[in-house]
Amino acid sequence: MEPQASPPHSNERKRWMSILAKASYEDLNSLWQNLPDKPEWSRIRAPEIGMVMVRGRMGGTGNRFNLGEMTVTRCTVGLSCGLIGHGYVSGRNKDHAEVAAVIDALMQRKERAETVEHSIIKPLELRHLDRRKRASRKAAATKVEFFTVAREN
Amino acid sequence: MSADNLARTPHLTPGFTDSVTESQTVFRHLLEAMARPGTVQTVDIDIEGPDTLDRAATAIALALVDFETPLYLAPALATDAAETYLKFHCGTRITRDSMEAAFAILDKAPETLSGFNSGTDEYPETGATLLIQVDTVKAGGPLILSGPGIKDTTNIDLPEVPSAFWTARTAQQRYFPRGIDLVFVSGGSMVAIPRTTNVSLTAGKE
Repeated sequence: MEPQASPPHSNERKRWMSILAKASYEDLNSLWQNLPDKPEWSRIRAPEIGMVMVRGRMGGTGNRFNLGEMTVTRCTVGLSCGLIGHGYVSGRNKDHAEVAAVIDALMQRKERAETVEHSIIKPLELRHLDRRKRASRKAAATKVEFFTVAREN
Repeated sequence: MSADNLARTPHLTPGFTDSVTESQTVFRHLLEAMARPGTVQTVDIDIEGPDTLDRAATAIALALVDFETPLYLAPALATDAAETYLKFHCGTRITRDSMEAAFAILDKAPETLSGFNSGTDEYPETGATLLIQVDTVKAGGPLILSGPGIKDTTNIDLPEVPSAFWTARTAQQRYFPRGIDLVFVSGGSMVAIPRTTNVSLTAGKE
């Protein structure tokens, strides 16, 4: 059967790639272990560890600057139906990159995308948002006002 | 969208399974071949590369070609599958301009070498390396090699390479240290003819 590749609209794909990249391995792995009916896959590019330069903009609007390097692990897998998935995750965990790559490939398959979205991507996203909310609440609670210094925003 | 294109690639096959060990092995073979021109080296690595490329050519590309070395593919070899494979695994740029290429994979010996970069007198190392795919490479034959790395002379046989090619190459050798290094590959075998090696044909054989 011809594999049904759902059009991996780049924004959609960006979203799930981003969630997979930032998820912790424990969270991802426990959800992955619970996923029924796992596909067969082969490694096209075995997991490898490298560095990327993270760039930032001051206040989100300023000029770009190099924030620093971080470790990433990448992996590319091919499913038996021919679909290819890429995994780029932070850290040095090779299994993490491989699982992320398989999930990326599965998300491109129309008939699997919805299940995977509900059982893996959505829960990871909620956990990420929750962590983020807690961190920003903590930051806001400890904000210091300098009365002699004007704040720009 | 590049992400979309990657998802629809024509069937991407794996590169080296153990990239560190395997690329070192290939490098070692190539080093041997370059240091002792005329010796046949065989790459004993199982890789499932693109159909149009010989195993040794794929292995050398995987080991040496990267984002700093533009690669030229002869039109007969430049299938979608081959280009995708090399772009993905080597991270290289495939160029259509042979003058710009640091490495070139060709399906036959070119008529002239003037289409490729031979470096400059200040930077002769920027000269191109040509990987030429032929049906047979074997030791012992009508071509007489001499020069650095060869004690007296050695003979090899490259039946598909026309004698005009060797004449053109000899003419180019007077520009040394500028020049082009050649690697003839067939299946998993390779024989290197660096720019320092003199090639002459035995009398009576054209």
